Amino acid sequence: MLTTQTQSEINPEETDWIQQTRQGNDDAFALLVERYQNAVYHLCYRMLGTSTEAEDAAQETFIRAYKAIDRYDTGRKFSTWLLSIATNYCIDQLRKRRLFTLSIDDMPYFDLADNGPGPEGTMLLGERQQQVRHLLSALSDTDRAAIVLRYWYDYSYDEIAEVLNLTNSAVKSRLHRARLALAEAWSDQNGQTQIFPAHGMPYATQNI
Amino acid sequence: MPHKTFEAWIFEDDELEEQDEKILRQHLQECDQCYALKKTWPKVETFLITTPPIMPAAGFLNRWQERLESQRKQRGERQTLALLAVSGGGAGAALMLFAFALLLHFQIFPQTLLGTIAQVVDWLLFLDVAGEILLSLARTLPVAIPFPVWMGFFALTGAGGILWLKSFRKLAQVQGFARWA
Repeated sequence: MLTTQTQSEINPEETDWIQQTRQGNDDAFALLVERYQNAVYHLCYRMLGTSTEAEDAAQETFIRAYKAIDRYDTGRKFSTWLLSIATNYCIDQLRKRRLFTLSIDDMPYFDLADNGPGPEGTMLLGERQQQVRHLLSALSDTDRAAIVLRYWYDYSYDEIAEVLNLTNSAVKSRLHRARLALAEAWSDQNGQTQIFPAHGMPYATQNI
Repeated sequence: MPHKTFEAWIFEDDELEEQDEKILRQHLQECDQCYALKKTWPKVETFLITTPPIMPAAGFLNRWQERLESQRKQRGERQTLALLAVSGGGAGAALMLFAFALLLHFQIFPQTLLGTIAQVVDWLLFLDVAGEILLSLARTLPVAIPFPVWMGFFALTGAGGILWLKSFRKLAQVQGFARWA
C-alpha cells in the first residue's frame, strides 16, 4: 500500500519546497517529483493499464502540477491535490481512448519488468497484475479511481471525495457499486458461483 | 430491510454491531446472492490489497526534467511566433489605417487634384478593384456616416492600439513566465 507517501498530514518540508518552486527553484520541485513519482505512476498504471501510458500520464501530471503550483492551496494536502490532477488526466485519456473503442483489456501487455524478482517471479507477478487489470476493467473510470485510492492508498471516503470532486455519499455509492462489480468479475474469472445469476450485472461492465 | 443494506454490511470495513451481525447471518442463510457475495468479497479485497504497486522505470525524474525542458523550449518558440504575429498584425493594421486616412484626406483636395492623385493612388495600391472599393468608401463614408459613429470608430481603433500594446508588452515581459522561459 502506498500509505507512507500519501497519508501524512500537511508536511512543512513540502510546503517549503512548494514555496521555493514558486520562487523559481526547479530543484525544489524535483524533490516533490522524487517523493511522489511512485504514488502517481501507480495510480496512472491502475487507471490506464499499460506502462507506456502510465509513464506519459505520470509525467504530464507533474508538468501540470508544476505549471499550476501558484494556484495550489497550501491548506490542502499536496498528495491529494497531485493525485486529483493525475486522476482527472487519466479519466480524460480514457475518454479519448474510448473514441477509438479500445478496451483496457485489448491493450498490449508487455511490461512490469521494472522491479521484477527474476524471470519466474516476474511471470507470476505479471499474471497477478493482469488479473488486477482485468478486474478493474469491469469498472467505470471514476469507480476505478475510487477503488484504487481506497485499496492501494488507503484513502478515506472524504479524501476520495476530495480527489474525485464528489460528495461523500456519492463516493459511498460508487464504492458499493464498484465492489459488487469486482466481486462479480472475480467470480467470472475464477469460475465461481455467479453472484447475480438471475439478473445479470447491476452495472454495465463494458464501459471502458 | 432493503437488500442493499445487507450488501453494505458485507462491504463494511468496521465490525458490525452484534444485532446487525445476527440479522446478516440470518439473511445469508436465506439469500444465495448475498451468501456468494459474502464468500467472494473478502478474497477480492485481500487480493487487491496484497497486490504490490507498480513502480516507474528507473530515471523517472531525469525523463521528467527532459520533458519539462522540451516543453519550455516549445513554449518559447510559440511565444516568439505569437510576438511576431502580434507585431506583424499591429504593423499591418497601422498601415491599413494610414492608407485609409490618406484616402480620406484626398477627399478634401480640389476635384482636379483629387482626380489625379486618386488615379495614382489607385494604380499604386491595387491596380484593380480593391483600390476602387477603397476610393468609393473614401468618397461616401465621410458623408454617409454620422459624426458619433466616426467618434466610436476612432475610439475603438484607439482601444485596439492599447490592447495591442498591452499584448506586446505581456508577451515580451520576462517576469511573466520566469519559470517557463
